[in-house]
Amino acid sequence: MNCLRLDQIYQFLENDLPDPEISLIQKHVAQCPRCHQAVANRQKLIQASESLPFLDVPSGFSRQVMSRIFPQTLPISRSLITAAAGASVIFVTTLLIFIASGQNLVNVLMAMNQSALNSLQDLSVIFAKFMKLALLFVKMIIQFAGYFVAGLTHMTTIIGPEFQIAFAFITLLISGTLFYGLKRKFFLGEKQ
Amino acid sequence: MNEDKELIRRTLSGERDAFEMIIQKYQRPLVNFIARTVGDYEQALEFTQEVFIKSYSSLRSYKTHFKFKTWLFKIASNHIIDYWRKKKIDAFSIDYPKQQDDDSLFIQIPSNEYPVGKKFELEEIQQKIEAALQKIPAYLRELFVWRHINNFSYKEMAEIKGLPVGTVKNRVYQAKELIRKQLEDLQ
Repeated sequence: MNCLRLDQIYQFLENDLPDPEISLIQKHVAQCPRCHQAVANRQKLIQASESLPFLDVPSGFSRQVMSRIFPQTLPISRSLITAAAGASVIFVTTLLIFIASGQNLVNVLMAMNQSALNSLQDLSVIFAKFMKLALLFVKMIIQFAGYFVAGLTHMTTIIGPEFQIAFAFITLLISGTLFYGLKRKFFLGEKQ
Repeated sequence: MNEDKELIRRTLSGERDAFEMIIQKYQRPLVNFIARTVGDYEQALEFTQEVFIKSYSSLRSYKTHFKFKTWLFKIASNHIIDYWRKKKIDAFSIDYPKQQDDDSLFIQIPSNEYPVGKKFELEEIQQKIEAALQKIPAYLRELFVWRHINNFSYKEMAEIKGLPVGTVKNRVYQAKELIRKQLEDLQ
């Protein structure tokens, strides 16, 4: 057998040759000092490379990556959001009442500065007006509901029961689809 | 490998803990690969984080008939190449001819070869190998690291680089020959 080529040496060291060829190479290496030295050199290099220390990762590394993927947001409770939304609605409504009542907002603010009593009086007026508006709104809703029920009763006398069931089913289907679609759009399937 | 696929399925269904388990599984192999390839541990930590972020954001495009490990390391390899391109570092030119023939290893043993590490102990040889690694072309370095530090099979490496297995083998042999030559020069 001729002296080994470099690729043969590497294949030999990685057991990447057929058995008969390995035996031939083993015989040759035992007889040829040059090839013996070449194989020994590369074997040493491979052994040293494969025993190179495996570097460590700082503790908490995975947490660090997770916090970059999912930046932390302040946990806000649903009740807090509801309270904030309620406060915003009251504020905007109050502002609208001021404008509707024809009062100058600057004057009102200045008057509020004049004395605490005046401010309290203004607030009482605002609260009373707001309550009146709320009452009107409730009355309107009740009236609307009344018309809706009357309309529905009238419809039941015109439309047959089978059509009524079909209509109710279609309405339910549309509502369900809309709800599911919105849920997917806003929650993106991510669970905490 | 089925464990990876299960973790991916759970991640895609919204379980964040599942992706953290993927990170814990692959963080060390990735840091070792990147640190040895770019030659900077701190940078490797930063790159590893970026690789995980990239892989999370493109997880939906991962095809389950590929190995997740090879997909992840392909992202890492491309990330390093992008970095070198931005920094205008030519990954192919470090002390090595561009048009190196892959068949160049089908040659005889050099006539004046010195024994490797005759004067050095194992630890010292390892230090020399680490130093020599940074002097060989980057495209050979990453293959060497995958093969001898990450213990990848030639098939896995060929899959990552999109090259024939034979070409990958020859490049790993070339890398080893260049490192051996570097060690010889140090004696």
